[in-house]
Amino acid sequence: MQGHEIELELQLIEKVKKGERFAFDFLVDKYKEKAFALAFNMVGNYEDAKDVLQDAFVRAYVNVKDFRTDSSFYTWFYRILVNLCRDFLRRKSAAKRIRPSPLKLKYEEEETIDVVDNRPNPFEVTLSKEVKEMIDEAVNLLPEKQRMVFTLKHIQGLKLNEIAVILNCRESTVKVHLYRAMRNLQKSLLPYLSTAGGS
Amino acid sequence: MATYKKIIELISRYRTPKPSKEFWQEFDKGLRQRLDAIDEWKSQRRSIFVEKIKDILGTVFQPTFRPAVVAVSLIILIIGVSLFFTNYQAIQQRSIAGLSDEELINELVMIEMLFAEGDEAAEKIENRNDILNELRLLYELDPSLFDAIKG
Repeated sequence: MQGHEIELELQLIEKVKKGERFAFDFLVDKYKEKAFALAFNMVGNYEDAKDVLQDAFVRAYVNVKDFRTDSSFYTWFYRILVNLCRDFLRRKSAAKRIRPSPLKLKYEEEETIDVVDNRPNPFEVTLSKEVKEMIDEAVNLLPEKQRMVFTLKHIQGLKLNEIAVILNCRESTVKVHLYRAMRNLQKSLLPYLSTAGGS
Repeated sequence: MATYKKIIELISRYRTPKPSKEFWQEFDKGLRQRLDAIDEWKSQRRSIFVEKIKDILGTVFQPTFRPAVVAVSLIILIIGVSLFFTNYQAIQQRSIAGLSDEELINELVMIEMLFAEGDEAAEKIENRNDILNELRLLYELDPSLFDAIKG
């Protein structure tokens, strides 16, 4: 981000702190698409990503007074979003753990939470189903931190030091997660690379 | 490296969501409703607070309460002023026993300076060491302090 952009953003945040909603709407418009990509890659489907992202914006709006100008807004906001994604995944995995076996579930199946939302969306329609499934599986198999780091680096295009700030860890830790993510993805995707690469 | 690049390219292409306009409209609508609710709650809270303050002030400044308010204000003022002067005097009359060694040396050096400058009052005193010794006995001071001054 360039100097004047940072300046403009700080002015907007000051306005939000004074209670001017339009300034916050401007920030939402600026970051929602990129932030949605992060949420989507973490939680795995559109609906949950939408809910988590809305929660993140609401939390940022309520706590904007805590934002200090020594960091950038998106780093601060991504930190909120990442924490909410983690909470969501923890809740989801807990719900999965306590889900009764199929025999007991005969009449209650509708109440359980599915891990992957299979509802069609415009994105999926345009993709080769087989390749997409293979990639989804490979990415979803990554441990939470590896997936987070990979998404922030290669889908969000953030720098390693920014990722370290967002995840509240050292840059060297980020590098380790990134390396492991790449190694795991290579293992999962290598057999398909020749076929998928051309598509 | 080429394989890594291929993997990154593939994943970023396939895992970057492209929600429709309708999706964003729904998103914006939902978020707007939630933020509106927060704004409303904030303004309600603020107005409740302002109303409470108004109520209290309204009650306090009723004509029937006015003499009482004036009396209480005067009492607070008098107590405040007396506390201020009590503390002020307490500072002026600070005991030498409460001084640290360093502060005490400074004080004694000041007395020494009075002698050295030939202060009129000090000239009347025949033997300054008598005074220093009296001070030492009176406050049970460490003799090394005097050595420090003499040194």
